[in-house]
Amino acid sequence: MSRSSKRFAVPQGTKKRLVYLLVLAVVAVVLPIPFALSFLRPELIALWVLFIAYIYSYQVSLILVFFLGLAQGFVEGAVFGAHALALIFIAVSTANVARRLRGGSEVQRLLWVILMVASHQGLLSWIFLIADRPSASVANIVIPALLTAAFWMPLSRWLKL
Amino acid sequence: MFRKDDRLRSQGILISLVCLVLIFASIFTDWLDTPKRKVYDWVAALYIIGDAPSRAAAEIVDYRQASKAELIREHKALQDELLIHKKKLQLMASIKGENVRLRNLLNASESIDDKVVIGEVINISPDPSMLQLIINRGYKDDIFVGQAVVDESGLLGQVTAVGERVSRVLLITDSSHALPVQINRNGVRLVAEGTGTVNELRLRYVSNTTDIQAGDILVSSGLGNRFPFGYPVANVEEVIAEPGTAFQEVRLKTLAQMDRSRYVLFIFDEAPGADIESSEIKALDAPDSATRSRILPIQNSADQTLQDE
Repeated sequence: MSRSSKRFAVPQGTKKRLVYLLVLAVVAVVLPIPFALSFLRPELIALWVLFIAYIYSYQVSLILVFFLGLAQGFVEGAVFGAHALALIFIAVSTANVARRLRGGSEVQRLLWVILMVASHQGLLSWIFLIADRPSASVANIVIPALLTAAFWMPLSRWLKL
Repeated sequence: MFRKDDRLRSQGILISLVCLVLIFASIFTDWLDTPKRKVYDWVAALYIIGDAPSRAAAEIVDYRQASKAELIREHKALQDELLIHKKKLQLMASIKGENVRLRNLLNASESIDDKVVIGEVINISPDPSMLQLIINRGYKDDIFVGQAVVDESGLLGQVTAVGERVSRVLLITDSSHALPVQINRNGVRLVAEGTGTVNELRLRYVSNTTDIQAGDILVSSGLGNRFPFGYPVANVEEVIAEPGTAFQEVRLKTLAQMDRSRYVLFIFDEAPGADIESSEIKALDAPDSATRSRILPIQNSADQTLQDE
């Protein structure tokens, strides 16, 4: 099997839809949600990184992910570089198992999304703890992970994956 | 295949190291403060866009609901309210005079009326672990880090980051925040800590013998020189005294409407610039007339709290 045949063929129109999804993800970051419900905000930027790592595997641009993370850090007013590190972690981990994920079942992919988003939240929480921020509760880690995973299936269908 | 895998990992490690350097620089140094300040203003545009749908929806609802009869009723209610406030103001003038005389007797310095800048909340922090507001006032309006912010009901928080035209305000209920307060009834000094819940504060290590009861109003004590003295902070909701323990647990409810206030006031305990006069009304280049920033003298709220009681 040649190297090119191993590549995942990106369906037509998916790139354009990825751009739309990124815009949606950025809007989701700044959409005003009451303080009491802010833990219900899905991590769509992390999901977008999961998608590009899943689609492009080893071709994924970590530089793009890095700048996206920096931008998210600025928007959220968080510790500079924390989001970038968490997103890089997701991108590298997912790119390494992308082929296996593509061959796996939908449930396995969902579990991977939950694991990755929860790790993303956990890593951020740990960094914020160093910066004297309060540690996130389990609900603040698990609920966004579950909510983000809920978007995986409809969005992957929309992206024709 | 192996090479690509290897390239991705090495690139990942390299970028992660850069991220770690940025994280440590962000936490332990102020090197990134200037670029952050520049970027806050670009980010503000995003916040305004994000806030636009809810703002438009609220305006449409207001417009559709406001009938002529309702407007007349609202006008009448506002006139009545104005009369009540005028009456209170007259009473306050005599109390103020009495206060000055008493202070003179005590040889204490006369309290200075604080000055304020009005700002509008354009968004809230997307991070659920931080209780922060984003306000449309920045260092162009003389806002500075550490400045106290209030709404019409009480103390709201303090400024933690300032851009050119935007600033971030950390609420007093954030779990990383604490402020010195005192009980208005008897002057007992305490420290109110944020709980991370938007309208709740708590008092820790309150001795069982401390005179505190449900309904007491706590005001800022002015200690620490961060918050000016006398602004209403919270009222005591519940005092739980367990027999056999040395301390009481006190739960407080903030007087400021943390999750509802649209307009806030930045307090200038000391005039930030020479151009600020106590009687001056300074209109700045605000995006709309309703939110025009004004620097106004306001009466320290302690007097009002005393009157209310």
